[in-house]
Amino acid sequence: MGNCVCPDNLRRMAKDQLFSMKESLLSLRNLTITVGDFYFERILVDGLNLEISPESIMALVGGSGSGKTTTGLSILRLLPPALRVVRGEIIFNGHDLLKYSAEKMRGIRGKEIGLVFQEPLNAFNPVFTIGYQIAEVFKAHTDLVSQQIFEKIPQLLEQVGIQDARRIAQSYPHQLSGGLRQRAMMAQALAGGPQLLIADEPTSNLDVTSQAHIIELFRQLKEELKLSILLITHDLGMVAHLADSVAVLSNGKVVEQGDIKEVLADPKHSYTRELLEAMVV
Amino acid sequence: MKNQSLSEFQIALGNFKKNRWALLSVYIIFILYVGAILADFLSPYSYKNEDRKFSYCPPTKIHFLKEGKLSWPFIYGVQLTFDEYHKRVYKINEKENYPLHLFSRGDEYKFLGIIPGRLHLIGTSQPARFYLLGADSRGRDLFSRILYGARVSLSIGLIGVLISFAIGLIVGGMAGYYGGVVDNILMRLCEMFMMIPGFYLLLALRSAVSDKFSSLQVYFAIIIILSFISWASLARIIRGMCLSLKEREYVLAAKAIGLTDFKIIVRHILPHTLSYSIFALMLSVPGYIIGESALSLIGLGIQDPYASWGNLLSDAMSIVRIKFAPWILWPAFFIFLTVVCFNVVGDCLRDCLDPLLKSEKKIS
Amino acid sequence: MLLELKNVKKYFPVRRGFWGESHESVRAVDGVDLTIARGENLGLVGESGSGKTTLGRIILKLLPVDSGDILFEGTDITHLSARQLRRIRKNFQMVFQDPYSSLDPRFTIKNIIQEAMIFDEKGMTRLQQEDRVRELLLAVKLPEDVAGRFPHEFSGGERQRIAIARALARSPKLLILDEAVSSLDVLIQEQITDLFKDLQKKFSLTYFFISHNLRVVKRISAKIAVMYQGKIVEIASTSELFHNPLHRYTQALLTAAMHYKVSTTNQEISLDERSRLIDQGNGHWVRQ
Repeated sequence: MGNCVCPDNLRRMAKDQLFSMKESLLSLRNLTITVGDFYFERILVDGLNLEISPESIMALVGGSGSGKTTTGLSILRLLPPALRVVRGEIIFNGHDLLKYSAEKMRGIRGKEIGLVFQEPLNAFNPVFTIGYQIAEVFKAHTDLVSQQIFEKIPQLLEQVGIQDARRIAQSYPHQLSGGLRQRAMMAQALAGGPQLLIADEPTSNLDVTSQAHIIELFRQLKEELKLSILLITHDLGMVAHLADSVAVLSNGKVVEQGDIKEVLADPKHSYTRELLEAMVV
Repeated sequence: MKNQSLSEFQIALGNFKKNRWALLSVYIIFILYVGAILADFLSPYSYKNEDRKFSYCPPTKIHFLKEGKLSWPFIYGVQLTFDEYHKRVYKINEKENYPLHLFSRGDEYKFLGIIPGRLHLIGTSQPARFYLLGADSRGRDLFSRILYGARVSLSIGLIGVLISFAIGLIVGGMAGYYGGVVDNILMRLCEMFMMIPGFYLLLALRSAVSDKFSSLQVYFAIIIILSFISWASLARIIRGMCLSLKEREYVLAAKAIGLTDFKIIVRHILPHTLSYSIFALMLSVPGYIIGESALSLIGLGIQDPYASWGNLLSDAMSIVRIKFAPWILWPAFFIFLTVVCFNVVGDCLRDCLDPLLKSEKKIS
Repeated sequence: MLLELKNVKKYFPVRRGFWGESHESVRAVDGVDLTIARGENLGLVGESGSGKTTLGRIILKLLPVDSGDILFEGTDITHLSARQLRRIRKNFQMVFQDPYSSLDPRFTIKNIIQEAMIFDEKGMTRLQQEDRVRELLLAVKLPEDVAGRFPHEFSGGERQRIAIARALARSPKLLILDEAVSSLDVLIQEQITDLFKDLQKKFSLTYFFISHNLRVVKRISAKIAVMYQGKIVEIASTSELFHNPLHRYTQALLTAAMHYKVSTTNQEISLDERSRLIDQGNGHWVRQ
């Protein structure tokens, strides 16, 4: 009973899909990912269908073990070697990313699709400054010369709301607070000018006030840069204040999907209801 | 579905077993140690058994065909003659043939120093001598001496390493856990030891030890000297690991329970350095073996008539002898084999245990 | 009165001179007064850098205080010898934040819990110890067969339950929860907070809940203290704090937590050296 998708939901999903198939930025179709072992194979993501429209924030919500991070990483084909995509398509701007060569994927990562991690301390190399690491993105994906990059970096940092950008660019990751680091990581993800940003639990390690700032920042970026964001999180409260549409994941399957206002107002699946209740302060 | 609960250590061991070279090396090491323990039985002769008539006799060929027919393995007798250059030549006398005996009675020995016996795996009847790997200057069987030598060389490696390991863990553990003044003092001590060039310290300590020591005492003296100079580098690394390990939350939890410092270090911190320590241990055994060989080679280690691989090689220090009796280099092969095997095992252990050095977080 | 803190201070030196004297210090805990009554859970909220974790460690006697007093059930426990410490430690225990590193991965679950009982061992036979382990695992709603397994086989929520079982091994009176649910996802957070409420009734515990997550703190605490830059800026009963936050920092915190909005005052809220906690009536104190 728990996992069945009721006809209403199906209709709603089908309607959404039909509507957005024309202009979908990213669409995951029947995505199935397994983790193989010598002893047994386990399905992490089971026939996932997802549509992300341009200039919208889609939230992927679920508990730990639901497969949401796995899904996010699989879009950029950054899964650890033990995990395999056994079925499905990842269509980005009309092309199936799963069929891309390594060279082509490199052109996508950082340039067309950016990734923001949960723990910025791990994502940044501690021996290089923030500015240097952002410059690496520019060097890899654009033809700008050093002088131009040098000018662009403070602009980029200011865009993500970092004051005193020049000083921050010359700092090392461990010298910044968690909130600043998270912003710096977003700056790095945006350096290539992507159309889609995948944010994996971007605020889990942050304090409440920093979290509020980052949410504000996401909203800003979506409007100013016409960005689409795939927000992976277990915090339905944040989703309620930020996302346009939401997909709820449980055990690798989508149990509910749709426009955020509709889902929050009228959650059809028991899991969604549980999550909502947990969010009440 | 696996029902058995495996500790991380056991999982790593499982991985280890999948590496063929490492497994092979483990088997070889095992065979060498078994050979050393059973040296009395496996060797045709005692290490002292000499016969000057067979000085530098080349390795005896074993024949399986008698007049074209398959027969029990046998050897021919040899006769020592000198050619026109006064070089030794052993003429094979085909008229005398001596069959090889399995489980023959030979020289007396005391197994493990207690049980007397005369049984040897292979032997032959007098007056022929069976030299599997040739003879040395006094006609002693090299193969037998290599087996007896294995006892010394291999055990020194093991015992010496365990001693310096123990010292290194204690010193490193204390320095890392307490920090501050304790750390300072202990690390300066380590540096003092590391500063002196190893081989010279070895020689100096050896000469400080009395001349009148019996062989057994020399043996222990060598072990102690070798471990004395090598504990310092292990201690430094263990100290570094302990410095970071003591910040882990389970250490804090143990403190909150109220465990004494000693218990915390021994139960919670040092075991986590084990993965590093074990492969460091494996990789330093060769150093001990070579250290002992070096000492014995120059005459400061195990003395004649006792055998050790190093002292067997002292015979091979002359190029003339190597040219005319190349089999005296066999001990070097065994040293080489042992060293390579320990290195392979150590490398593979490190690869398997490496993930344990870092903490794990799961992807969801 | 279960626990009292009087003007506790803990400074960490930032720069040391050549001879070890400190030039600058981080004032992690800067004159904190707190009381925890038996059965009345206290929540401590604050952001990273507020000093709340340091305070937790101080109460647990894992860190020495620079000045001030700590009283447990009326007895001064500020300065104790190691032996005396060991005796009183059974009264308060802590559940740590990270379930992945608070359990030693080389120990089985049984060993982990038994180790906590190490001082009571003398009075207990092996069978009694095993029974106690089973009892504790049952209390945290874990099946019995986990005792022989290793931490890495369990999920974050399950590991946290094991950590709780360990903390309860010596029947403490006060349980300090240092961000105990922050690394778990929301539904598991709910389960664990429900478990806490359950255990409180069963074992007459009192909780001191340190967290930056207001939602969770609200569920368990009767009283909440707000900490900022090493000082307590507001204390009130839970409902009073949420309905009527008086200090600007508390208000900013609540706006961010409940509405995910950055509060309008963007400049740093600074605390005056001379400010004191003033009673507003109703047990509601604000720093002014």
